Amino acid sequence: MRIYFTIIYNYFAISLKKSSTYRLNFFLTLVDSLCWFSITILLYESIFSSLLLENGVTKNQIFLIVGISELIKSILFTLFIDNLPSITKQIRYGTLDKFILYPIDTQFMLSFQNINFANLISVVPSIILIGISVDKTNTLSILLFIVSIIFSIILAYSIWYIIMTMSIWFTKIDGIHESFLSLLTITQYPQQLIVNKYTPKITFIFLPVLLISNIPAQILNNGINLFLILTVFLFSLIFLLVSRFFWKFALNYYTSIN
Amino acid sequence: MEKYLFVLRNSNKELLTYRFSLITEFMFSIIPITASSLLWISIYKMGSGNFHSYDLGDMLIYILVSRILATIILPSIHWDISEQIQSGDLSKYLILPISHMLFWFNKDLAKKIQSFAIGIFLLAVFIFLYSNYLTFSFKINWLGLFSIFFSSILYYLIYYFIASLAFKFVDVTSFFYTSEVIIEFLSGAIIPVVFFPNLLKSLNNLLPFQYLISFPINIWLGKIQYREIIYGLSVQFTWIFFLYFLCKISWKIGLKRYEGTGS
Repeated sequence: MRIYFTIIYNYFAISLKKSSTYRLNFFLTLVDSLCWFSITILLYESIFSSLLLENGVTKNQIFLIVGISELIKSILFTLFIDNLPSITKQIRYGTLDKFILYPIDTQFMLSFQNINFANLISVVPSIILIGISVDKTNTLSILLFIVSIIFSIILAYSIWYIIMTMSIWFTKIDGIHESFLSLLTITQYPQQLIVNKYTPKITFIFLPVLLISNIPAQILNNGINLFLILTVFLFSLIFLLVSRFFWKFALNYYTSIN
Repeated sequence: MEKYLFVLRNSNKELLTYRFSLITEFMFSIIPITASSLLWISIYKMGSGNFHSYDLGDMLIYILVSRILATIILPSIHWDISEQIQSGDLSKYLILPISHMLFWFNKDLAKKIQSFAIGIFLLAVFIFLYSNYLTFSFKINWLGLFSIFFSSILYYLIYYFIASLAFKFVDVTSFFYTSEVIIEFLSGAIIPVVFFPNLLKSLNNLLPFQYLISFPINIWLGKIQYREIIYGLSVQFTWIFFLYFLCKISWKIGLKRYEGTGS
């Protein structure tokens, strides 16, 4: 187990050095993150500035979910945006071989080899937005909120990894990770606005993705709810296990071309 | 001209070889379209009234058409061109008796033609699924077609200009992401531009982006009058003219800096 911590530490150190070497790219990624954040806020402000919705969906609630979604997205992108999308390339060019040969877990190495620190910038405005949008909360709720955010990140990572694992069969699809990024946009929506009496029943398939941001929002706003914590914990655990089994199963079909 | 038709034909064949990739790309675009259309259905049902003269039917057709149109006409040439500049692969195009701009225009056109076929199919499926909400009657609008044609040229020139920045800054991938996000939003591909705050609306009026998506769709939806359409088309044409010369100048300057490293 210790070796994994050492590897993680080294990956962090190398990525930090890379960021300082390619300063312009680092700076542009910062601008990109801030642009995304500003546009998302502008979008919801434009839609909801003159709108009151029934069923208890308030503007504050929407901005809380947007803030949480952006927070999760920035942490997720910091850790995985330079890793998971490149799995397709590793498979296509056969460079996955070297990862399989190392005496370290392949999924672990593929997931953490590059850290994109520039994406962390969105964490600050996200936390500010969450702080402004939350109605009332207490210390315990904040602690449980942090726990639920960790589970949500694990859940999102697992869904992303399951999608990327499909590259073993679909090597020619460059933008397979785009499907996950598309899914991620759904995390900005309150669950009540996607799954309700006005929308088709089939929308429940979006539920695992909606839980990523909606459960932490409910915990922060409504206080301690063990059922919600348990739900997000179980979902993240199940999806993480599925991602591991699916990856190991898919590796049986990997035909190295190197 | 024949050589460019050859490029178009060849690119078409190349894309047909990887047709599954193209189809999958479109399949992925279904997710955000579905999510945003469901969001708008809920907003209209839970809220009250219309937004800026858009009823639910107008909004749904706007969202569907804008997202699909953006997928069809959004060029991806900037990624390839910047890679050519970085790797020095551009050198081989410079010695050929062809215009680099027209070469890539035809390559991009081949993708647009195939994307159009898939996009129309997807749009038909969505219109069928949401038929309860839509009051849209299809009729050919020649001015609308003209404006889509102009907007695809405009889109191409904007990205051709952006690609030329790779001469100055070697790794500009992050800038590409940023520009894509900003252009997508300002073009009205996410929400109609009439929803923007006044300050942003005024700023956007000085830029060409709203003529990429919002303007052609509003012609089809009948949201703008004949005089405004003619005015908009002339603005589109002026921007094409301006950007064409801007691209020429930026490439001329860029090529002076180009070192052909790695070629």
